[in-house]
Amino acid sequence: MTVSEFFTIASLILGCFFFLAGTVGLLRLPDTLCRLHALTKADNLGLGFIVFALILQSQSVLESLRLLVIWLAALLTSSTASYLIGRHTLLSRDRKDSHL
Amino acid sequence: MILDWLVVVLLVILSLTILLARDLFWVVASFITFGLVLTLAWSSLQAPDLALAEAAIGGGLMTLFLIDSLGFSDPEQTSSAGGFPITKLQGLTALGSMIVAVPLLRAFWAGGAVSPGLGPLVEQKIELSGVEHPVSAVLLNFRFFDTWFEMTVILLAIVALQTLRGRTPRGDSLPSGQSDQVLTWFARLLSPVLILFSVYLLWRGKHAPGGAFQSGVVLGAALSVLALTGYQDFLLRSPVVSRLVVTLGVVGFSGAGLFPLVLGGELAELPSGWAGDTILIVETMAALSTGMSIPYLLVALQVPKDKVQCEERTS
Amino acid sequence: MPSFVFGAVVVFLLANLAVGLLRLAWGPNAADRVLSVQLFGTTLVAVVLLLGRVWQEPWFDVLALVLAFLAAFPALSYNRRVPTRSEERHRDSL
Repeated sequence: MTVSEFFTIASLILGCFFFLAGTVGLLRLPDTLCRLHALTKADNLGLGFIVFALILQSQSVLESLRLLVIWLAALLTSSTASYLIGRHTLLSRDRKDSHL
Repeated sequence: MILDWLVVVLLVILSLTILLARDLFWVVASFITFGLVLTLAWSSLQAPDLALAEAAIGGGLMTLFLIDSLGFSDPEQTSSAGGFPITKLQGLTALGSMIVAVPLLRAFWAGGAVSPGLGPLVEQKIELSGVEHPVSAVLLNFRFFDTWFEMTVILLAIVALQTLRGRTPRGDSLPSGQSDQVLTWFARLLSPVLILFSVYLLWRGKHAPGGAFQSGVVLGAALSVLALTGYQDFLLRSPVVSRLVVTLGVVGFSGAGLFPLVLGGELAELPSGWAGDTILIVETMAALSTGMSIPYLLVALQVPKDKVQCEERTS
Repeated sequence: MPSFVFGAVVVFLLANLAVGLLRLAWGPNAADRVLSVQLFGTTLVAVVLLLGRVWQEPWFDVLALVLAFLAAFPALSYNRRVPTRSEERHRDSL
């Protein structure tokens, strides 16, 4: 196994681990805001590791850059989305049918 | 193989959820998720144009429309409506679908020769069409009529929805005039990129998956981001212009379809040397009008008539 | 890199998604459900990127980009159309 193959597989495994962590957090944490925190951070990190693994395997600089751009786009939209959900949840506390 | 089965299982679970769930928001969220999983299904069927369109629509635009429509309904309806989950009609429909599915499944598992479909025929004639990508060739030349009438149907839908003008949804979280800093920053960062991306998709349609429809929905997404984050002036300030742009698609197709009659040819017979350029122009107009229709439906239709036409009158 | 490795990761991620459906069902809040949709969006970007390499199709990258860009839409729409407590009170008082 070459060095790059080793790091690719390691990176993929880490990525899977973080995705799993995110889902576990989503299911097991008690509060909407906690779940938000866990999911956003873990998922984006997981995606980052997977993108890193793919960059290690890519055939050209252009492809690596493209992968990086995809990850950055996902980060941008995820973080904005989680901010919006978080803000909305904070402003919605005490609504009688919300469980927070 | 495993992938296909996983996708099917997810789709079936989601469909059941959509049909049986009591909380309307759960239904809407399931529908959005269904759209996303469907993107995966199209991808594994090697249908890039469909996958791109489904990603943009199911993941982006359907979301906007569905959650919008929730805003029009009573809050009591949206959470935990009671009663037995399946109505009689739903039960009958489900039974009917299953009965129809049985012979289909038997045909599927019986195997036998798979028809090559229209692929080879399209490959033969593709130089005549003016583009290199078979899906674009079919949509914009060989089956010009279909796309022409699809654009007309969209326009008719918008005209029909004008009757709902003036009804504001219940939860307009950010009335125009106020805007959150993060949203503003997000809109200013994402919209230009999406607009550029839609131009790229339009251009790409000639030789690779892409084309007018995908470009139009991405453009619609870009403009919707603007419209929903406080930049809706471009729609409201000049309703005439926004309505004109919405009609561009039908105008373009009609022009390209009817013009050959003037030259003595058949209806929608694109001139052979110029087919590629004609298609590009028509595609651009279609993309623009599809793109404009979406924020139009989201924002402009919600402004009551008196506010649009007579600003001086206080209501 | 054998495509088997990428394929295994894809299967794992999809199983992850299937489990995430539970939150879609339980989440007592609309916010929890929007969160589940976020999970699907991000995971799908990863899945599509991996499948693009397994099947050697360049357009998967474009698809992943579209998915990444549009991942914010559910939250955006939720924010715009579902009223918060302060807005509800404001509206009810009008």
